[in-house]
Parts: sequence; C-alpha cells; structure tokens
Amino acid sequence: MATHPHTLAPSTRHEEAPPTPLPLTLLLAAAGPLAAGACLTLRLEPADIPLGAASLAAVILGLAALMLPGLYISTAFTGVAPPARHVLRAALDALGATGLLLLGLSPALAFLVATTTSWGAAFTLGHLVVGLASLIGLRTLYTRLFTPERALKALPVYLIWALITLVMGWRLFFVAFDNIQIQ
Amino acid sequence: MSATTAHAPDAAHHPDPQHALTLIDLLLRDRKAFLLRIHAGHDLPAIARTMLLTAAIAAALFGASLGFYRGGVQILYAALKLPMVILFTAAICTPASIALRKIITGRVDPQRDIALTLASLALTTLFMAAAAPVLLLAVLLHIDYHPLILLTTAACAAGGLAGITLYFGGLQGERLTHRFAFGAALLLLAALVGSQMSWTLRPYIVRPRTEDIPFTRALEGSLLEAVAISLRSSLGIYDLEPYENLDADADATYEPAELRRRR
Repeated sequence: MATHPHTLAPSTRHEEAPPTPLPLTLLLAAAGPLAAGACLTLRLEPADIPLGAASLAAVILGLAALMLPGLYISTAFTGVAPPARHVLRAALDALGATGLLLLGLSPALAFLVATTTSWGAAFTLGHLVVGLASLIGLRTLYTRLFTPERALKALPVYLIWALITLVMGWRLFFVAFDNIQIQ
Repeated sequence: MSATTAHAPDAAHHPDPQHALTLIDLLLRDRKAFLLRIHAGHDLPAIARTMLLTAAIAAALFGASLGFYRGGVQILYAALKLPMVILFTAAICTPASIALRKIITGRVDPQRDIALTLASLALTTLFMAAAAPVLLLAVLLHIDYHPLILLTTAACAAGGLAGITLYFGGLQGERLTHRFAFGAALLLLAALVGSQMSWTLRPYIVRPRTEDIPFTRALEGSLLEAVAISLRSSLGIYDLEPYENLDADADATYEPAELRRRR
C-alpha cells in the first residue's frame, strides 16, 4: 500500500491490530488519569479523592492541549508535519495509550498506596506510574505522527518538544499533588 | 508426539477430574504441547480453571509446610495466606498485563493471557509444593529459623524461575523486542506488587516460642520503606521520631516497630 508523505503513519510500522475506535480512545484518555489520580490520593481524606482524580486528568489533558499546537507549528516549520487533523487524531491515540496504561496500572497503584503509611512513598509511586504512562504516550504520538521516511528528520524537534513537555508535566503534577497534601 | 499429547485433544471435551489431571500432567511433562494448546485457544476456560485450582492447592500445601515450624493454628494461617499472596498479586497485575500487551504489541487476548498467567503460577506453585517435604524434614530436624528462611527462599526462587520460563515461552510468536519489553515490565510490576502483598499478609514462618499468633501483623509501612530503613540503619542513620500522620512534616521519619517495643 503506497503511503502519501502526509498520510498518517500506520498504527505501528509492523503487522499490527487495527487502531482503537475513537469513542473508546476518548474514554480511555479520560478514565485512565481519573482512575490513577483517585488511586494516588486513596490514603488521604475522602474529599481529596475526587480532587486527586480531577487534578491528574487536568494535568495530562490540559498539558496536551497546551503543548500540541507548538509541536504542530515546529514540525510544520521543519517540513515534517502531517495535516492538522492527523496530528489531532495521533494526539488522541497517544492520550488513549496513556489512559490505557494508567487504567491498567490503577489496581496495582491503589494496592501499593493503600498499604503504605508514607505520603512520600505514594507520591514516588505516582511519579513512576505517571512518568511511565507519559513516556508511552510520547512514544505512541511519535509513531503515529511520522511516517518511517520522516521519522528521523522529525526526531530532533520532537525530542526537544517532548523534553519540555515532560518537565512541564512533572512540575504541574508536583504542584497539583503537593497542594492536595497540605490542604 | 508423546502419549500424553496424543490423548490431550480427546480429554479437552471431557470436563472431569481426569481432564484436570491430564492438563497438569501435560504442564509438567510436555510444556511445549501445553503452550501450543493455549496459543491455539483450545479449551481456555477449562485450562484457566484447572490452573487456578492447582495454584491454590499447591500454594496451600507449601504454606502449610511453612506453618509447621510454629505448628498449631499457624499451619492453617499460612496455608490460607500463601494462595492469597499469589492469586491476589496475579489479579492485581492482570489489568496491567492486558494494557501493556495492547500497548507494546498492539494486540489483546485476555483469555489467552489469563490462561498463560495461571499456568505459570500453577507451575511455580507445583515446584514449591514439591519442596514442601524438604521443608517438613528440615523442621523435624529442628533446623534454625534463618536457614529455614533461606531454604524457603530457594524453593520459591526455583518455582519462580520455572514459572517465568514458561511465561516467556508462551510469548513466542511475538517479536523478540516486544517479548522482552512486555515480559520485563510485567515481571517488575509483579515483583513490586507481590513483595508488598507478601509483606502485608506476613507472617508465614513464626518462631516456635511465639505465643499469640496474628493472622496478619499491623500495617507498618511497605516492604520498600522497611528496606530503606534497614539500609539507613546499616549506615548508622537511625530514625527515631514517630510518624503516623500522613499530613505530618515531610522531613519527619517514623519509628520502626522494633525500636518502639524495646522502649
């Protein structure tokens, strides 16, 4: 199958399953951060649990909305960007992958947080889980956005963008959950 | 083709104890054929049921042998808790396994994954149960507490190795990098959850002089926190201030239970 230079990259570059339907992707993108955020605040006051859920979802989804235009502009400037609607679909797929992993890790996170007596330990676990899910999301975004022919050319711009996004995300995560702890 | 595998397809249509024993025999004697059955999707619910029961019973037997060191009600407690540790850990890690499989390989097949996981656990616990007579002999010979712990660790390690080998064998058909990434991630998660589960449900081997045996001890932090404290203690850094409130100052540290009891 011939691929147009600006065709959305296949779901992976190998023989893979069909892409996840959009409604399911949206559901995963929302449910994953909500579940993981709630699990993270399990040992705090009951009123903090919905706040924790909403905070993590806001951090992840808000950061994606904030940073994606910059990615599109910079990759378009360097001539490697697909059309905007493909960027949007790739971003949703990436958020879906992040949400899927967060949802899958939520039972483990809930158990580990519930059986610790230290907020520091729970916070560290949260860092690990959210960090891993973020990396998975960034990897998915990269493979969805760029065809194999353009991937190498796009890599420097993408890496810089990803690093800035990760640092901002870490900072927002830290501020959001540190605020919950001291209320 | 072995005689066992020649009869296996017929046995798949007869849901009775004989079929369960055939599956267990296949698991022990011809793991390639067993994995092929899982891969082909033959009779997955029956395989899962049989493996689940096998893991529970074998773990209970191993647990009971550990409980013999103290005797009395600890035999029952340990027989109940070992299957809980193994099966609860598997249950908690299963959603993550499905998610990781989907993300890394792009495919998801929960029935096969669950059957493979339960088969690995069954093989692990069968190995451990095989070591139970050795543990009982050690107890009868009045072996000391710490050598018994080492013996237990060795039995669990041997079982774990067998189970992991089967699990990785069941992932063939996936690309090598996918197999490695998925297997390593799941192993790490299972180690983290399993170690914390073991910590939460302790004790298993209780010293004979112990009078009051709790089913589980009070939650005193996590295994990783205990390891961190031990590490700090070994460096001469002792944590003395009580720390019970999650809203306490982040710099405060908590007092280990042993230190509290000595006061």
